[in-house]
Amino acid sequence: MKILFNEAKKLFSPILLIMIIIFAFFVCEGFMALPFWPQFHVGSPYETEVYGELIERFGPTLSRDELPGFYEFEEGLIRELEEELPKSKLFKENGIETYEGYLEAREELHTKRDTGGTLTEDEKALLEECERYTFREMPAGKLLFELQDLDRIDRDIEYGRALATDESIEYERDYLDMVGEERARLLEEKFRSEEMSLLPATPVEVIKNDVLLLTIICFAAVFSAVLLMLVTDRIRGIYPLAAASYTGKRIFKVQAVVCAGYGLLVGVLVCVIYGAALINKGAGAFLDCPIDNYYNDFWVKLSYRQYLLCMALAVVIFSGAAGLLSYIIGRLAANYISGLAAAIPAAVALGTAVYFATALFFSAQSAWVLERFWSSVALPFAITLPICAFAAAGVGLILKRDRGRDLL
Amino acid sequence: MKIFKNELKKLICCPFLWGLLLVFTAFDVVMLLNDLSPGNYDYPTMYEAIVGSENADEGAAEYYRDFYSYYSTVYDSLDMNEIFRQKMALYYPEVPQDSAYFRWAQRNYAELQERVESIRKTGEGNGDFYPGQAFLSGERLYMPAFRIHRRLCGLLSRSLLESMIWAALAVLYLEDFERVNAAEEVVFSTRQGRGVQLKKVLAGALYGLSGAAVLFGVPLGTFAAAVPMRGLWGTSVSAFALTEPTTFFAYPFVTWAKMSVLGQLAASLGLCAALVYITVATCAGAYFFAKNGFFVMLGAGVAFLGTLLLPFAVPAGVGHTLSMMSPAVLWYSAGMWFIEFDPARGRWFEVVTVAVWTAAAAGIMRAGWRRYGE
Repeated sequence: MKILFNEAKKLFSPILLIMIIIFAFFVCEGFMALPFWPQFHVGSPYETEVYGELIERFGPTLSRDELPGFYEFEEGLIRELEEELPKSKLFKENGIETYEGYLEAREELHTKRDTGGTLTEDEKALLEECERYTFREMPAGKLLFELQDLDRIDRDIEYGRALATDESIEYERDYLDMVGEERARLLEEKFRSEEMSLLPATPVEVIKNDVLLLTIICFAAVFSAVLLMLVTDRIRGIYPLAAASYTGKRIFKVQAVVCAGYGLLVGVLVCVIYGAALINKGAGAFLDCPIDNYYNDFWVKLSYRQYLLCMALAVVIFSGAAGLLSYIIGRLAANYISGLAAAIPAAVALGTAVYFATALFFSAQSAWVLERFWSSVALPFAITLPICAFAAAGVGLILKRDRGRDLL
Repeated sequence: MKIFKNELKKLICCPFLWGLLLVFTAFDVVMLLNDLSPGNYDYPTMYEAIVGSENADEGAAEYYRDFYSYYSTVYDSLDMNEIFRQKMALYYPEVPQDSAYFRWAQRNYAELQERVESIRKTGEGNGDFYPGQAFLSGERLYMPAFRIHRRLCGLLSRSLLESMIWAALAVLYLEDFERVNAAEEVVFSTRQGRGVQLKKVLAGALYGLSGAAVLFGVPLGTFAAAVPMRGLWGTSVSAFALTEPTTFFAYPFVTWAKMSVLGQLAASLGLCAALVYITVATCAGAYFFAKNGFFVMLGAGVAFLGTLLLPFAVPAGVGHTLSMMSPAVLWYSAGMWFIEFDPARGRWFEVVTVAVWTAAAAGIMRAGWRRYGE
């Protein structure tokens, strides 16, 4: 146990820790989707708020029986907006008093502008007013965005993507005919289901984008710390001394355990921090929602909570594998720079594996999954298992070699 | 010279650098072939149509004729002042119109407008090239088609990053060699011994640039073999045939000065070599302070990421333009050099950035060396 603690202590270099924290901060702020969600996402900035309110009223799914309640909620928002619209002098002058009227006017002006038409000064002012109302005028802007979010549910129902009837599902018929038989059956079953998930597209998109970056942060933390520890040991000439005694040889095994454990610990830590940030952003409302809907096309009926746990598990497993791989590289590298040089392609290979394993996980959207349920399960495991097996076998071989080593 | 040769030999005999070079080159070639081989991009067939060969496929020839006639008038209405107005409103709405910075950017675009008029007058924009974006039934689709320019940009961007990493590893390996082999006290206890460190920088730079030559040369050779370009290298980068959408805009690449595709590539390669040199010199200089290649390499990675993100944190204005003047930002926009791209960049943006950083790298080296000597 003492050896274990002593080896673990070697992994914590203050300078390295500061560098990793700065690196993680840059990756988060520059490339992750979470810091920008939902404010700057392509969806609405009020998405979590309005969907959260719907989930509070109707639960994680919306059933056919609850539709009148949903429309009532939507009409409530429209009424609130229509109290705001007459406050604009320009809207009043142009006879825009209803939500429908506002949408029509905006659409007309946008079409004219985008098709090369020349807007008159009055039209320009009206378009500017429309945009001001959408983006800057509160609470009208918030209401408009919330209505846009609800409109997505309306359209899904109207076009047979959710709570479909025999009539509405015909809108999706071409698509259903285009995909494979097994997937078409699954999709139709989903579209005709008596309940639709209230999970929007973005919470899953954010995770899909960020899983890779989370693992990159883990790799950076694991590779750099493990390499520093092992190569320093080699340079200080500790290995031949360790190989000379039975207790010394145990250090090699303990180091491998420490590296794997460190990888797992970093993975867990990163996932916990990310999870806390995600919940803080309002994703907690969606935890019980089924993940499978028109926007998030999955083969299985996992909840968002289960999906998050699966992704976190993937990050932790790959981080642990990175720990083992970096142990292999660290033991074989003669110096820091060669260790870093070997770690770069290893990290890229692991990153590619993470990307495909998490993107394919139960997903029905990717062409890679061959449009079969089994492939969406088998392929992620087919990617993950060989990597873990390779890492474990590599460590095993190095340790076996160490058992036969002697000072001479 | 003997020491220099010995240091170079150390690098040549280093297997991990060769391994990494091989991995990077293979990766580049695979990525490039993947880029070039989507089923519907039949380069040889389109090439025949572009050069007006007698054996040209009729469909491809018709496509190219339609494309050409559709875009042939694009310069008649191209107004860089209007593009400036739109870009400022979109990207930098907070810049006051009466500020010196705004006027500077406006002057740049006025200069570009003159350049557009010159292109219009001289017919520079009429050259033949692979179509930059798709075109169908008289409707403009913002869907890229052959995108040669973009593929070249991707190639430069990948190779440049790899070259910088490779060169930094090479120089740091040499610098760290004595420390790692516990010979530091013996070698650096004399003035001549310490002087070896400078020769290491030179050897590292030479080896780094040689590696960069491979990392750029092999993908470019693959590109030249896969895409027929005879007679097209001389086409102006500003030819409307090359037009590809960049973010929300789609108009020809307006270069600050007349520049052919080959000319831009050659100038870009020169800039890449300078950036590789800057990386080597900065890492070597930083090593003299840190005396630890591992931390220098990690620090360089963090600094690269930090300078890449810095412009997002700095509000529009002079500070923003200065924050963009870094090797990381240059790398990010690799391939779009010498072309109008962002109102925060002026005519000499790339050249000034490289000059400033070359001076800065030399300064770091000098300061580090003085400290090291002490």
